[in-house]
Amino acid sequence: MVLPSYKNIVINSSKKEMIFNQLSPVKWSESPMVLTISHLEENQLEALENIDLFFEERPRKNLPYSVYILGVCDEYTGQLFLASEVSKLPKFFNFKSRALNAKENNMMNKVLLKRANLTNLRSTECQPPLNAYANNHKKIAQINKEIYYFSQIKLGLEKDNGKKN
Amino acid sequence: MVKKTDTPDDMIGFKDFIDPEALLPKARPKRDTSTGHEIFTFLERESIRLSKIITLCEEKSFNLKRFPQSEKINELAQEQLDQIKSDMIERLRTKDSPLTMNLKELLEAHFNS
Repeated sequence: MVLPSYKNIVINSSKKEMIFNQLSPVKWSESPMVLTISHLEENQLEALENIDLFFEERPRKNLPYSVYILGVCDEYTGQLFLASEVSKLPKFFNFKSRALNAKENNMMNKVLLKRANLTNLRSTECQPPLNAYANNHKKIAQINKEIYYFSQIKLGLEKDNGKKN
Repeated sequence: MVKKTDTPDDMIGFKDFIDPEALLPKARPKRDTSTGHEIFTFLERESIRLSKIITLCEEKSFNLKRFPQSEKINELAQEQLDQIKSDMIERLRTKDSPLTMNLKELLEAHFNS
């Protein structure tokens, strides 16, 4: 059984066809993936755009494991998680895999069962309500920020009024 | 003719030069399966993490779909914002408000000079 630690994939080229060919057979739900593009240097932005395109065309459930990109590109404004070094990736999955003992095997079986459960969930059903909830709460947070700003001004005005009286 | 014997008594004097561990049969290298609880702890946490995601996707997502509250909260927050803005405007419109006073001072300084 393979533990869900980081699996590294070195992207060979920034060209769309090459990236699509390389990423198509990858099993995304088995472990968190790190796509390394730092060696592509000035073509990193093109590679990132094509990786974005790949995930747009083949909607991947972002569950249970995420995809991380290892590279440096300040111009990139997409949704992929971009990190310049391995140390900047979440530490949770960063460990060396080894053979498991009986107790660990039992626990791993539980993890596999839950992972299969998640893979079988239809993301098309659970994603839209969560996205709507997130968007609405962003709006609420914005409004609350404004309320706080105006209430501070109002408080200042009231203090000023109190001084005059 | 003297017979050669390997009895322990014959080894007296040589024992110090012989490494006793070298004579023992070599043990098979064991698989490293018992070093600490790092992997087990990780698997436990991973299991909890996945359970939480399943709960989020199955139960909470369903509840959010069936009983949406965000719109109502949004409306209430908007009402509160409108109220606080109108209160402020009311306060600033009075003759003795800091805004009116400042504007008055500014206009007087500009047009009376």
